[in-house]
Amino acid sequence: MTGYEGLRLAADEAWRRVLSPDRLRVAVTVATCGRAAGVEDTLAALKSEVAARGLSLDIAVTGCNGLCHEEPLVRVTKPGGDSVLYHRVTAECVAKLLDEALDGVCEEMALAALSGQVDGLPSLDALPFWAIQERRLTARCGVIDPDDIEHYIATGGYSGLAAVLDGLSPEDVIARVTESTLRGRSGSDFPTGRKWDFLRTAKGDSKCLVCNADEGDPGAFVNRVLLEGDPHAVIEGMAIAAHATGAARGFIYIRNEYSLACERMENAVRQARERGLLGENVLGGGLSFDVDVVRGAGSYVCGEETGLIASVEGSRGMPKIRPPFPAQSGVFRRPTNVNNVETYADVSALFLNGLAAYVSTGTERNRGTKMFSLSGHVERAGVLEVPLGTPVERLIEAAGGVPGGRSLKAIQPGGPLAGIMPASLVAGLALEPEEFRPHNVQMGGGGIVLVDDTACIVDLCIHFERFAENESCGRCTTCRGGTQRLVEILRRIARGEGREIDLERMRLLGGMMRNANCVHGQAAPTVVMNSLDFFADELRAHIFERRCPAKVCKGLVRYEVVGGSYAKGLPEAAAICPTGAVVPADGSYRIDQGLCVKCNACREVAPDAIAVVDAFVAI
Amino acid sequence: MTSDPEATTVEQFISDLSLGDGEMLAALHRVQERFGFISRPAVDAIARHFHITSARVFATVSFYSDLRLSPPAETRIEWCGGPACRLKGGENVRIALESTLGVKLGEATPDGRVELREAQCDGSCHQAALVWVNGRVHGPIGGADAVRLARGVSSGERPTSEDGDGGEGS
Repeated sequence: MTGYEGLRLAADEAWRRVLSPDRLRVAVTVATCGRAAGVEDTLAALKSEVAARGLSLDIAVTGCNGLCHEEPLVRVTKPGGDSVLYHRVTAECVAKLLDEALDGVCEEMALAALSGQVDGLPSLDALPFWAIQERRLTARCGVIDPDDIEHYIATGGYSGLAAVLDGLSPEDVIARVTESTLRGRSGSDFPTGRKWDFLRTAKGDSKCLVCNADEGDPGAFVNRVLLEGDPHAVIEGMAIAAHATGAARGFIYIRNEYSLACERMENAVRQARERGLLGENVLGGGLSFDVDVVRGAGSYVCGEETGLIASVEGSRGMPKIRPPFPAQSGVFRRPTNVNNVETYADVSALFLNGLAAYVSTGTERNRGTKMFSLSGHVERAGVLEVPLGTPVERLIEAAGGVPGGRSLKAIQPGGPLAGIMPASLVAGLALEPEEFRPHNVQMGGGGIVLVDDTACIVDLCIHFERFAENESCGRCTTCRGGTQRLVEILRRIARGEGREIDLERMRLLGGMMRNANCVHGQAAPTVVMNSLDFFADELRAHIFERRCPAKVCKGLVRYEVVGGSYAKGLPEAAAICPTGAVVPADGSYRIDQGLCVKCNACREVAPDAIAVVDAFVAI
Repeated sequence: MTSDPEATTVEQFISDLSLGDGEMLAALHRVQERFGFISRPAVDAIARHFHITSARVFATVSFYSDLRLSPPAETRIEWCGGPACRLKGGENVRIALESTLGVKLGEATPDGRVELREAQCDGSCHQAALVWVNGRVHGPIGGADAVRLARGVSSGERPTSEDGDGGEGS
């Protein structure tokens, strides 16, 4: 396969300059999470400072390595290869970094040594967040420049595709995928090999592949880290799938919120085309396959595969009733296969490392690794890749657990429709789909939100049901009306107007919604159903005692001045109040309950003087 | 029919796109990036280009929350509706913004200068609770920071990159 060999030779040379540069190399992690932490300012400050000082060094860019909570991250590599990772390098810190890190080590910001021996610095593997991980899909994330295809090729990229085109029949490829136990990583959990076989044996020309990069679950960002950090892994996985299924056309549907992922993927597609890795007769191996990026426009239900197909076609993203299944009639009525970002990346890893390496970790049923994002009440928010079957507790531990000495109340895996489970069930729970199902919870696509004991279950139910209501496509009354009714009932409970019969009615509604057209409506009541099972006491306290134990539900609490006239901050509290509800009274202040909107602003500026108390219980 | 200069421009903008290649959304994004929103004449022009009815284009535009049929305000505050933000006092931020600006999510101030809308989580959860002001993250913020932010933008102050001190709700 001379086509690939040629590409590899050129790429290896480029990669050598990254690993062991001739002059200083400063690589900045530019990703959506880093942008939120101000990395664009860091990069701008770095460029201007380097120019002002006339420094001779190269500035490079990488994707996020999963340490979102440490961003902005900067990696300094010296000629010879010693490399140190610096964290929380904000724009103001750039001068200090350049003062100290170019000749020695800037200890204040140093996080870990990436290669070589650096005195006093732990290696990245020594960090708890890293030690637990087995990085296969994320091996390149935070390491390569995602806009440089040569970095991908030099690290083994497209060698799996080259090997597939060199000698494996479509049946061989599918057999190997089936043997790997790979199942849809979006949470569908459907065997990927079988799904591919549906398309391979489907009748019809111009078959399509779709990559579902509409990672809409709030709090889930595993796909984003892959798309932004290693876009070619997705393209290669799709090209292997194209060979296996006979597809000629691919669409990568990326949600609009991921604008950086869209840019990087569009660039990656262009580079792959230029090098003959997409298009006619790929690598001279007879495959003709090309890919286009489709940018979504803000709709959660487009993550449902038939909704996504409608959106690719330019229509309203409303899910369709099946059959026909996408393998029979998908994008523009062509036979179509839809897989998740991580599933395609997994295929690339499988054909890069081989079946034996792939199945060397994980559980009997679920081989390999899975990416998880942790957010919410967690010390270290970010993305980790661990073997399937890893205990949830270990994952939480690696991320530093719940901060501030609070205790874990619940976890919400897999997005707003996947459910919520109490901390008591987390003990001993392993990260594989089968472990979650008996509790009527889905593991889902990899997002895990940690919830501590300051949260209220009714408030969370309102949050998720309101989301489901807003994002319902509106086609079936079961979903549209069901979510509306759930939100109405929950809001009433949160106002202290709950009724005993509400508990029964929510169960009735939840059961009825299982008959909705698509998974959106079917799964929408999951969080409420789980709460009825696991948090019944808390719901009952709202209904029967008109009390929110966590003091979160606005209708069941009021703000009161408790510190008297000497309490610090009351004049400031009066000044910050947007409605003028903190009013002078008898030499001190009181809260005008008619004006108070309960935004908590006063309590933030005068925490000792203002308290949240139960609205319907005497102090 | 195409005498409207804007419609002519729109058609030029999207002349390379075709419906069969899944490029309807690309066309809508392009028009919105150029004009800030998708006007009724633009809807008609897009429909002509793709040889479909204006109703179909309108149906698509009105389905997606990021496509808009009216011009954006000068200052756009987007409130993150994600769970991590909710857990860290996002509701306080919403209430504070709404009360200070005198508008609800999805509305603009009467002078049309500031608009408040809900946006979806993009996984910047380490900065929760957060809002985006003209696309730039402000976070972590609490109710008090949100009041200051809203007062600042209402009085015509340019939004700064200063983040709040991270007051958390209870």
